[in-house]
Amino acid sequence: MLSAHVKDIDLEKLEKEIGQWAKSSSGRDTIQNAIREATEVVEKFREARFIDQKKLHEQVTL
Amino acid sequence: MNPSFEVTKFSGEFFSKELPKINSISKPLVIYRNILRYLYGYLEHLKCETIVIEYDYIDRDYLEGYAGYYARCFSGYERKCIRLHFFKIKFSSEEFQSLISHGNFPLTRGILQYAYLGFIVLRPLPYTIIGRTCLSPYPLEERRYFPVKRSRKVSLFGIELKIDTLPFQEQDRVVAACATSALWTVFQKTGELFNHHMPSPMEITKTATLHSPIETRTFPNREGLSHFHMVQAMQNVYLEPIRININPLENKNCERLLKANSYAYLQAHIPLIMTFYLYDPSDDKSFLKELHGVAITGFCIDKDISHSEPFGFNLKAYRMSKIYVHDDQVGPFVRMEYDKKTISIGKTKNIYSLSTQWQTKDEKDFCRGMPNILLVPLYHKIRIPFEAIFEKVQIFNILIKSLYNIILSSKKMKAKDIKNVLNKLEWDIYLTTVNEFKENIFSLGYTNFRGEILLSKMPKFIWRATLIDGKSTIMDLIFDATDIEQGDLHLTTIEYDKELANTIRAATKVSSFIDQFYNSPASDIVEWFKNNK
Repeated sequence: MLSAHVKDIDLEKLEKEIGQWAKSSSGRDTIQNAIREATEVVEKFREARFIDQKKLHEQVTL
Repeated sequence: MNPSFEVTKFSGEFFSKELPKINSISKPLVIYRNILRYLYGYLEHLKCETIVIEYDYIDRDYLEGYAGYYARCFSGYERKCIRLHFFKIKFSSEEFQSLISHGNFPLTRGILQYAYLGFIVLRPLPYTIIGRTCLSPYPLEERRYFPVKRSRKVSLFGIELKIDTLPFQEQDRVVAACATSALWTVFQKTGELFNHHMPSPMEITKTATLHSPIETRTFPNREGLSHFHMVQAMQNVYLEPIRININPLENKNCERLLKANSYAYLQAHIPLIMTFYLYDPSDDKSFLKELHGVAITGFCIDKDISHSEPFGFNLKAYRMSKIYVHDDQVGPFVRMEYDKKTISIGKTKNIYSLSTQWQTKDEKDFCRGMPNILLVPLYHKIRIPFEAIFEKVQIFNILIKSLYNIILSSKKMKAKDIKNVLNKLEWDIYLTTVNEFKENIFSLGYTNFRGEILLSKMPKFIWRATLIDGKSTIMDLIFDATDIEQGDLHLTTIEYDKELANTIRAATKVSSFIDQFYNSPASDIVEWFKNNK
């Protein structure tokens, strides 16, 4: 359980650790890549609202 | 004088031999129909033992079709129907007669209610005899969900019975085709939810084609309705439908789209319409000829939490292993499984498909269904679609997972173990109403947030995103479903685990970290954590 790992955590120390990680290039890249991937998934969900039935039929090569 | 009722034993023989004879007009071929086989199997699964046959039953939906079409046929079609009631206990005709005449034991209303499995109206037609059908869904067994069922009162000669279900009826191919039947089923629930008129199949077909006629005659309705007509039918009862493309040829995410959207709206008790192409593996040329429409009425959730990448997104809806649909050609609560089997059509390989219970032409297997369109019939005030909330929650999930990655790494935990801990985090996103949400909070008993939440003002429709760690709830994110998409949709957060929430709060103080989320769609959630201590 996640709660067991954060019990009595030193929040001031945590803030420093977050700051160091976020300033490192790997931390920044990790977040930016994850946001970009999430945005791409959502974009696919948004695209699903637009429908071209004619194109659908053409895609099946019988 | 004809009897008012008969009591008979539930058996295969009844469905194959006696049922066609009940109705003087039904043709013998009726017994070979897939729908009768399905209904027999379904009732057998529900452990049905006894049938009460109620004669001279007047059914409103059939009556409208009768008045609009059958009454003007040269052949004298009957006006009245027959209703079959199903019970999971054994009793005799004498015992039932005794209950009606004298109220005598051993049969009582309470016993009948306990054993009641629902009813089927038999239309006096030659072939398409299955009219309004209200049967109990499959037992829930902590994995099946039928959030769209509603309680219906049934009066059987003055004996009040109740059944929780969503009505079903097959198309008669005269006043209704599959799309009309699916719409009729959906309106049975949305009518109750959003207080609109519940039109009969005849009315649905007539009004859907009023402003944009179909290319051939409306009645008899053989061609069915197009997606455009289905949208029109929904707008005729003042609903605002949204249309989602779930065709695998267009969108590789079709399975996730279908699962996430159907779960999110079904949990708000809103049934959806799905159209799909039927593919018969024994007849390759059948594809694209048959487009079929069904109403989605339930789902089954697997117990295993799916595993994703460390920063991936676990959605409860992705654990869906099957949906249940009212398929007017097969029956109510028909299973369609996400069984990962693909189909190949011509040169196009590995096309995503779902299982169906349509028999193939050679009767050796079942057809496959390639999803096409999902239609969600919404009340006009529900304006924020699922994907808007999905986007916010996905990005907030990255914040949470990044944060706990830092915490667990600082404790020298191995990367593999960190992944295992983070993979247990799962989001449950669905639409709900303020009343249902507050009733749920009230039912939790004493909590430190109870009073504040119950007394707070909220819009009628809200999106709820719950973060769960195994079996413990960590937090609820509440969003306004009635606002505009560019607005700040996040209303409040309920912190079930204060220590976990405080770590997020600490992270909001670190600008190098939090600034990356301020310029994202999740900024309103981050802002809330920063401002609420």
